[in-house]
Amino acid sequence: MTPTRTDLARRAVTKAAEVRDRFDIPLNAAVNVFDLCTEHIAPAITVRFKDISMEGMYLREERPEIWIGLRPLTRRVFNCAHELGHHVFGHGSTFDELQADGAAERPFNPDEFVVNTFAAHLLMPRLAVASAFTTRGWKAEEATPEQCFIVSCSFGVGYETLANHLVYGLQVVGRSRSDALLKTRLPTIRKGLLEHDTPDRLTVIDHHHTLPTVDIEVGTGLLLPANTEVENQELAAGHDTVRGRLFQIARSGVTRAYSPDGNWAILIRAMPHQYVGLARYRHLAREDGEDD
Amino acid sequence: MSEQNEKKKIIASRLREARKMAGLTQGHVAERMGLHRPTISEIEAGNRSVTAEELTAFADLYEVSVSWLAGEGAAKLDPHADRVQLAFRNLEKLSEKDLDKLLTALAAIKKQKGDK
Repeated sequence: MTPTRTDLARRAVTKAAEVRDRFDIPLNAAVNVFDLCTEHIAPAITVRFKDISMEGMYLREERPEIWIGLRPLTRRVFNCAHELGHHVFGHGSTFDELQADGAAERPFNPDEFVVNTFAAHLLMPRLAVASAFTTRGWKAEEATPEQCFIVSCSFGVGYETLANHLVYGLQVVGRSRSDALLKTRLPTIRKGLLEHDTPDRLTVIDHHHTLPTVDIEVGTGLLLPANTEVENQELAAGHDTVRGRLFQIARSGVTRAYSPDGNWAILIRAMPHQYVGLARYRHLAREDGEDD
Repeated sequence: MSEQNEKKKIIASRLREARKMAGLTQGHVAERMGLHRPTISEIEAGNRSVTAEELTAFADLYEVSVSWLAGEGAAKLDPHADRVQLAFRNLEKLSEKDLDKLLTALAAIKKQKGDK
């Protein structure tokens, strides 16, 4: 009998929970999917960032590979989880062509449905989403666009990805809220947060972030809690705003950000904008104008 | 150009291509290989030969096959090969430039006889 969408979704959610369990990733925390593939899964999966207009590829080889196309970083995160889905479900090598925003819906493909659902629940399991809202004193079912954006940053996924997951995947947001979530665009949210001080790309990290690291691209604004300091100011120089200290990521590399009272710290791992290369080298320090 | 020189040029160009695909600068590679940066530049310009041990170390660093780095096989996969067509049905939607990059990268990681 052909499995229904509900059967497929259940299978995907179960598999996502199994993967988290196998690698000791708490169900209430975020996961870095690039690190999961390259450092935790055995045998390791080689992850390559490519300058090719595609979503991604999964290569079922003796040493499996995931190739991520030229997309915004948050989309690259989701696509890596999607390709990991092909791996854990034992699918064959797959090429996922570029999906233009607003393109007509494609015919239903059970394998693609399963791995998309897997990716969503690996990155944003129900418990982690609920926890991300409640630890901040918010309710997922009453999420505002700004809250949804901040929580999406904590998972490393795009705002629209989390908004869609809240509305259609987890179905925790009712009709009246969903319109506001799905229709609000990022520039509006950024402007609401920082007024005139808005970079084109922005990530917000607060004290409730569950990962010890944040992956970010050069040229992105990183809004951290007020008074946060960074060790390497050549990598990220900050200034105060009404919502915290805004750092502009100037070059790739790794540096520590911390609160002066010693109660909080995070590793900022900066990679070039639209990085091309192996995932394991993405955070290496690079000087301006260094040979390519 | 002698056959030996031709081979040297192919190896040099594949080393450069593989380094760029790995996302490394010549400085990164020099540091990891214990070589001077100008040496990497000389190797990639085809002015200095590489030993078999060095070639293996480059292949490990770049995660590509040693045989491809050594100049064996085609620079890129044949898009009409059965295996490629079977696995990737939607490749025709890529631009010529993207398809070229993809097939080159696929050739670079393809294991051949003798590869570990």
